[in-house]
Amino acid sequence: MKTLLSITGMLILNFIATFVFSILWSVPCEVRQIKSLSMLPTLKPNDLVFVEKFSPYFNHSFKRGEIVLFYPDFLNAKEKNTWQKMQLAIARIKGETGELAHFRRIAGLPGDVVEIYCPSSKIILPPNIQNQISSNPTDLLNGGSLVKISYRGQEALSQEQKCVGRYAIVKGYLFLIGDNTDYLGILEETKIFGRPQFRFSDFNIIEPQGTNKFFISKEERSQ
Amino acid sequence: MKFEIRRLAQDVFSVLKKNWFKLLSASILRTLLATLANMLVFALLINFPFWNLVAASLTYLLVWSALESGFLRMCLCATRSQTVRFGQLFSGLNQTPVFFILTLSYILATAVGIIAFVIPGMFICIRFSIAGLILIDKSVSLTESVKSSYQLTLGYSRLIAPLLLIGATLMFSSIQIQFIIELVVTIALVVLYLQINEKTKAVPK
Repeated sequence: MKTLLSITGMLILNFIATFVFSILWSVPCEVRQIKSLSMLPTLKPNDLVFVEKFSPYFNHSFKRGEIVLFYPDFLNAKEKNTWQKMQLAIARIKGETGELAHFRRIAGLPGDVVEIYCPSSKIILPPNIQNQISSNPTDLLNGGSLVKISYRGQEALSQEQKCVGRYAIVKGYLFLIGDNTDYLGILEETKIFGRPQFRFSDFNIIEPQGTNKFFISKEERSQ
Repeated sequence: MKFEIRRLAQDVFSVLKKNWFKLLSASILRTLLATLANMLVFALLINFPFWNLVAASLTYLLVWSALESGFLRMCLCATRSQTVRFGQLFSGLNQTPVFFILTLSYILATAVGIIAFVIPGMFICIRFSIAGLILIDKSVSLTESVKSSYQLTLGYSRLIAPLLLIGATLMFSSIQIQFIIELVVTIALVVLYLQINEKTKAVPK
């Protein structure tokens, strides 16, 4: 009887510890495998990326040009009860929800005005947070910069491209864009849960690319 | 050398039966404190990508080493049927630097050996597996403990190798019971060390 109690006790203590540690170990960081082409050439398919998840908890300020990780539907758990929400929160910390997380680059910060340029106007524009087409974009600036981006992140801006959308980014939101594709959109800051730090393939540190990724003239920045 | 597997298992089980709660709790607390220190350093150095991971890993190892010496002391007491006190976990803090160097060298040498040709790594892993125990039990210097471990394990590889191999395999395959497996392997090593020590009188004092 005592032997059985000892074994049971050991198993219970071990399982409690394993549960606590499984959450603890997944709080600060995780390793993600890239599955899409949306961040080429920065992140290639099958790249293993080390992601730190501390800075969003600390309200670390975001920089233009840095890559972030987010769940598009993060925190959308209105129809779930408390127990289900808790389970979902733990699963999300551990990255076991089955939801697809996305890597994107920050193009626009709160206060910025983002202008999207495209050869044709037939594109699907991101959700309209505050889309105001104005003859003078500086009217919309709220202490930020005027950021011009081409519809496809890899293509350079040219004379032929037309401005198809102008977005004033309000407080609490960010304008994100993929390095390779036409994935762009506006996202709440709270949905971001991680920042990639380096790739395991070459241990290259992933640093913010700053404004050189996007077209912001000096005059425009000073305005 | 006629240590029977069954006898070893019986010895390990009798030690665990009496002291499982203290030993398992100490093992979990040691890992918990090391993990928290690791997370703290990782968070403090968040603006230094990659290097924060290196610093956090070293911190983990440092805290783990600081408490591992106390934990091994608890295991030694339990195996010798002496009273095991929970406070013993923190009794080896003065040996932290030496134990840290020993643990780091052991891990690096084993990893390099395994990456190189597997066999050298396993050789290092087996022959220096009781260096930490000698360091604590005999209060000898770092080099003497390594030398003694090399001498004492001569001829006992057939017993230590399967123990470490099975332990490592189970640790990685059954992560849910990792603390129990780690504890069982540690106690088994301590039992083996004491049995080898009784038979051989080559340990420097």
